[in-house]
Amino acid sequence: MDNLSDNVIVKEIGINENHIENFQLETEEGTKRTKEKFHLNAVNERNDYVQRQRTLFDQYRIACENEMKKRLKNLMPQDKSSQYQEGIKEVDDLLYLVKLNSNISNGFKLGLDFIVASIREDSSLENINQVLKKFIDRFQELGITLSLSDFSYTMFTEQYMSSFLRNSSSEVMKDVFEKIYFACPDIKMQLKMNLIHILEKNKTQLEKYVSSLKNKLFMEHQVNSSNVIEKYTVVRYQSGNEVAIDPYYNTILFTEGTKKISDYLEGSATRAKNYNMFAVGGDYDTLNDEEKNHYNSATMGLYLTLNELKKYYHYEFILKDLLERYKNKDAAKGQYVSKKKELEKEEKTRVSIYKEYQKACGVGLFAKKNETKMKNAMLKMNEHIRKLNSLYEEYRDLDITNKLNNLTESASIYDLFTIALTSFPFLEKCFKKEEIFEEHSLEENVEEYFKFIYNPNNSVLRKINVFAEYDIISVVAEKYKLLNLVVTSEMIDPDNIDATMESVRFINLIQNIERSPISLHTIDIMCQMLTIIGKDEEEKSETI
Amino acid sequence: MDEKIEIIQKLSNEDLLALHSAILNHLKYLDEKVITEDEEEVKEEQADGGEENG
Repeated sequence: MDNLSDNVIVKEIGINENHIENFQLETEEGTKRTKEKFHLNAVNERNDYVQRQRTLFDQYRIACENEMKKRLKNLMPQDKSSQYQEGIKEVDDLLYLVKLNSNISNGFKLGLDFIVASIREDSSLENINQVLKKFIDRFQELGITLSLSDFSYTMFTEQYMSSFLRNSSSEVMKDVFEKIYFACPDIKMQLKMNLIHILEKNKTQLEKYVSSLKNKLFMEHQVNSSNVIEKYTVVRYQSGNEVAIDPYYNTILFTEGTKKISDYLEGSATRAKNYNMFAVGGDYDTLNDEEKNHYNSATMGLYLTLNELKKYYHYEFILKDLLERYKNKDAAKGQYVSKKKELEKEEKTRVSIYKEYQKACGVGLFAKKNETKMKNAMLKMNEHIRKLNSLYEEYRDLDITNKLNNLTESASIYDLFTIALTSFPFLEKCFKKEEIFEEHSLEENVEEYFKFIYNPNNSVLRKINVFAEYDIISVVAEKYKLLNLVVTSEMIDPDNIDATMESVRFINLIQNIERSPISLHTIDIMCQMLTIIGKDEEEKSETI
Repeated sequence: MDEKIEIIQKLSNEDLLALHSAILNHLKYLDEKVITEDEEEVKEEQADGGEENG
């Protein structure tokens, strides 16, 4: 603003005001009438002058605003969203490869477990039919055509699926369902168990499919089993960093009013409050340059750590559950093996009940139809399936506990979190049990959990031994104390972590902008111009 | 006007904002300086009242 006093328009303002202030409106000479006439003429003359100047300065105003519009266009960074899409897709693709490479079940990898899990006790008939269709279609995509023989888990599932596979109308399916329901109130459960049975039956084919898909995608992405996680973490970090320092995204935060630029400028009370919060001595400005550099690098890491800690709080219930199970892991080993044997035996009984039923229906050599035996077999089957269902529940519960035997004594918190991924039924139970996960689908919750496990920025939890008497909050607080930041245990406990993260996010945004090609000063200029132009546009629309 | 536009175009962002603000202030000043008939009547009444009292 140093040259503005020499500006011609500013000089004109001065001349104008001087002219108007010294404009002679009265005269002492002449009669009262002459004086009045003089005054009237002078007022008209000055009003004309003021009006002319008004028109002229309004033109200057418009010229300034037109210039601002032009500059705003030039100052606004380019929106690179479409360019980032490629990077985001690469991250998603690699995450899928990480999934394919991990030791989760093939049903989980191929999305089949989610389809099966969507059959619930409260599912409507329409939902059940959609799930069945989805399941059959997904198998078709995998190159496996399912037929009625795959659905003969019980006489009831076979009866239902026989109509379903004939593409019967929803009205017909409703009648079929009602008819079966009276003989078998557990039909939904039986259909679900049938789907799980199909997954088990096609285990080898699914394994082959996953293996060939994995090899094909590994070649496409030029990765292999040993470097896929590393490649994913590098690409995810790069992509995240690119977006974090993107000048367009950071600018629109202010120009679209999500954030207030005045809070972020140097000298602002809000900025000082956030910076002082973590500064030793409580005043960031008193730190010397070296200390400030140190502070900035430590707060950058702090955001990532707090993010990790926040997620840890979110999933801590899984860890607690697993730690409780860990106490019974030794006993679970033997129980798991015997439960498996028991299940195999009971599955054979199911098959024999089904055969009994078929015989009573007159199917097979020398078989004769016998209504009483048919009814008896149906009753027996219902009872047996309920028993089988409980056994499967117990088996799955033992399965996750038994898997804890694979942990070594030096296992980290992350190792334990990763174990949860190996049991889909366990994860399903966890996410359905906790209210906070209700607003998202099971698939979304599991996906988020998966991303948490493979987050490249997670470091603290990988280093902490899960069996040690640890207090993760103190560990984090101590780490930052060593880095000369004020981070107390209270600041990062579950009640206060959000507020602390808000302050770190504030500082991080400034740091990200400082690392990018745009400055807070330029964003401030843009916001000021937008306020002016916005007002102008509003006035125009009012006139219209 | 073209000459003025050229001057405006050469200004830095900060000066452009400052000039715009100065122009707005001046426009406000000019608005205040228009003498309306109502103001004249009030003035006359005040003058008449003064004479009468005198």
